[in-house]
Amino acid sequence: MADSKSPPKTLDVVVSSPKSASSEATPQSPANPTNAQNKQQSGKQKGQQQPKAASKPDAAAAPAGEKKLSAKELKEQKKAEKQARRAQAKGDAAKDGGPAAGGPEGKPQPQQQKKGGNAPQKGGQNQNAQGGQQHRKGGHQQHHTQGPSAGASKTVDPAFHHLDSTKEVALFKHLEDTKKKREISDGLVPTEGIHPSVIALGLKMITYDICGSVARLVATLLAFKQVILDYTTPPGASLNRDLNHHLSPQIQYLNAARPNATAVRNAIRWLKVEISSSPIDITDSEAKARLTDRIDAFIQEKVMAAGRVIAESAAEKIRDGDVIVTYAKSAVVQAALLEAHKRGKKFKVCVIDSRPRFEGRNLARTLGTAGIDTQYSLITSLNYIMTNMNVTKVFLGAHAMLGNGYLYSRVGTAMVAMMAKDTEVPVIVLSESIKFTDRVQLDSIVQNERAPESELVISAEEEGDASGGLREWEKVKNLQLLNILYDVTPASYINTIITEYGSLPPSSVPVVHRLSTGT
Amino acid sequence: MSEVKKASEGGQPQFDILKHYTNLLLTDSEITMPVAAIESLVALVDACQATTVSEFISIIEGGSDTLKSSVSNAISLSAGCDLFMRYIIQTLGNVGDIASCRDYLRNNGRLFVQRAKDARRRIALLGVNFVRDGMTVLLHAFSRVVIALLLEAAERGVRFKAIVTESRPSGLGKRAARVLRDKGIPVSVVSDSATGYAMGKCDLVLVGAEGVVENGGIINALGTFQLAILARSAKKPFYVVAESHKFVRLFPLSQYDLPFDQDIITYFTDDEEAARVEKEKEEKKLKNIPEALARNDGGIGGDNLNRAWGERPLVDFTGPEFITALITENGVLTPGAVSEELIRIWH
Repeated sequence: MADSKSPPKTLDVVVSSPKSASSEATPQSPANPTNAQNKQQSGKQKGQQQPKAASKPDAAAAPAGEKKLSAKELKEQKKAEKQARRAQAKGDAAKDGGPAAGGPEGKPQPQQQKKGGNAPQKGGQNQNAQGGQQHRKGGHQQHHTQGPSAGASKTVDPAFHHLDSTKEVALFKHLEDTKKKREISDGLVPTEGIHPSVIALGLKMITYDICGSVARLVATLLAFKQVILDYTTPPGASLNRDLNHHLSPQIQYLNAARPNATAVRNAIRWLKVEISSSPIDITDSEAKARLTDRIDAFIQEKVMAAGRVIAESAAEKIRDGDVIVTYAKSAVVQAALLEAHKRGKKFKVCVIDSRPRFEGRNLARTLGTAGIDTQYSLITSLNYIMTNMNVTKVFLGAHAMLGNGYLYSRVGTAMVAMMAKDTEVPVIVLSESIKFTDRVQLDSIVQNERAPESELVISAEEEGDASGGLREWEKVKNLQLLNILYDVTPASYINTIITEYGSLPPSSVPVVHRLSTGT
Repeated sequence: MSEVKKASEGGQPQFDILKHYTNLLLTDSEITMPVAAIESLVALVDACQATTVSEFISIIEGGSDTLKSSVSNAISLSAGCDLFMRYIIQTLGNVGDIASCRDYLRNNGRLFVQRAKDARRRIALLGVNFVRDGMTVLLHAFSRVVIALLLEAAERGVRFKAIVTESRPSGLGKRAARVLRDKGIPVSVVSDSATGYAMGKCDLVLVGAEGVVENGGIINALGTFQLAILARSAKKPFYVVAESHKFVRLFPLSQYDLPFDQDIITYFTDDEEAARVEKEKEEKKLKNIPEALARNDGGIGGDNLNRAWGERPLVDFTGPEFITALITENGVLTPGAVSEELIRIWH
């Protein structure tokens, strides 16, 4: 909850973001989409990139008037892109990605290089590091020609290309790739009918400004509250039927930004039932007031109160002298540790963290600031910590609790749990029942989320190494990167799950799920 | 029950729940702590003069707290108290006003107690088939419900033998042996250190429980844990026999995660000091039991006497991974089903 922005703040962004997103994305230049992305990923890059983009012929060619594309134009544009993409895919398959790039792309390249002059060399590398280039399908031939921003082509925007198929880890190809996210963050997905607060939320999710399933759940419900408030039932329709139709595209939009978290999905399911069960004999404004009240109550009950109850019962579990290991960051774990500290318990916390998200940093800082004896380490030191630091408990957060009692959480969690099991340290999962699902998953492959591979690449500045590392990894023929966000921890590694319904063994997840959804 | 009547007739709200509870334990050697606790609470409801719901609840809660604090480890006792509290709150929710609720509880409280008492019989009938001709059963300590099950089997003419561990420090194994031998069942009492040796000779292990915790593990007389580990390693089935009013909302993560401290491991560097402390402990224990009661022990189990005066047997925690199944009056459950049962009761 700490991560979620308050509603007024959301609204602030709402006003500005759709506009800025579209203005960045409108020009057909390849530089701009990457630029937009860079902007989100790293503020300091921004200044560097923008002038360069402006100097590009494509960007210059894009007339200022074009900045505000109408919805229709956007749609057409997208259609054209889709066709081009298909054509390209065909061509690609035929020529097997060789240097004989030919086609429409062959021509503009030299030109692009020339225009870019000296400047792009560095900028190009940055872009690369920031994850602009590897998305481009034409990757191979571009790199052969050393064009830093060689994705430039008049006909096809390279930002839309899939990664070359040989660049994807085969086992995870079925997962939604990060293309859609880029399209959204670049403002290239048509947004007519999408409420501004939903658009803002989608963008924030992509940039991880709103991260963590509970924060996303709260933000989503608040955004939908806004949608409901701004909704008017069209003539001849009834709210309890039409509003759900009205919400569908919003949900799809969010789902494309980031696959909806289990908690979000559960909440949406609840909201839809709530909408369709609106009494028909009340006025629109009454129905809307009723729904927004219900949403507020839902957040209060399922998130706020549940989180408090869990934090309290978890704090009870902590005893003086405990050494507690936690992985990455979970809002409710943080609340539990702070609660225990507030109650005067004397314990030590060891925050285990990992690349590329480093979510534990904030947790470690918060705990340390609160006065808890805190140690921060990376997951590489897990073995040392579990075997030498007299760890007494492991507290883990959850993204979802699956029907078979398995835990679906930030990638790396399974490793910590396994290690704890091996050293006979009890593993305690803290999860609100809203995260429970009857879905069953046995491995981390069937369902997962892929984050941009570029996140794994350390930029030249950070690394301080002129060459090597993973920079320009697309050029290395047999190299693939995989950046998944979640993994699945088997139930046998979990001792207990603390929910607002009490402590449970993993086998009781479906019972509580049934109970909390009232089915 | 006489004093209850006296209390309500005299319009005197002071009802000594602890005394009532102690009397129950002392007069009925077959009663278990949770049932005695529930019965005492029912008597309290009877005696209670409260006119508002919150007053009523606070009186009952006060009584249940008095009981809980009267013993050093209140696992099974608090299971009974909590269950009855839950029952009262549910009834209040259903019935609404205080007067009719109290009437309802007066009538149904007895039923509740009766059901809890009948549970043992039902378990005996359910579990009797686990003991078959020619089997050797390994027992630990003294569990009334396990004994009931075995006596039922003997009644039906099943020919089986029993190995009983001495179960020190309580030494209750000997008492179990006496009861079983009375019915003509061949029983061998072995010292606790011979458990591993004896394991190979038995076909199944039957133990009772002080409390059944949420993950399906049990809290039971000291030594149950090692028995479970030995049974697992010898691949012998390990059954827990327990009434469902012993299910308790507790989730221990390890031996040391129980809600009370036990004086089991004490370090000394001096022999004499160790002996002295040991002697002091013994004296303190004797002092706690009034002489008159100690003389009156008669047929009453020594453990009940101790229980009545707050002296509790030491316990350990056995995790669900060692338990084959739990035989309860609601059926034979896997350890995982305990949590579901608890959720069913509580939500």
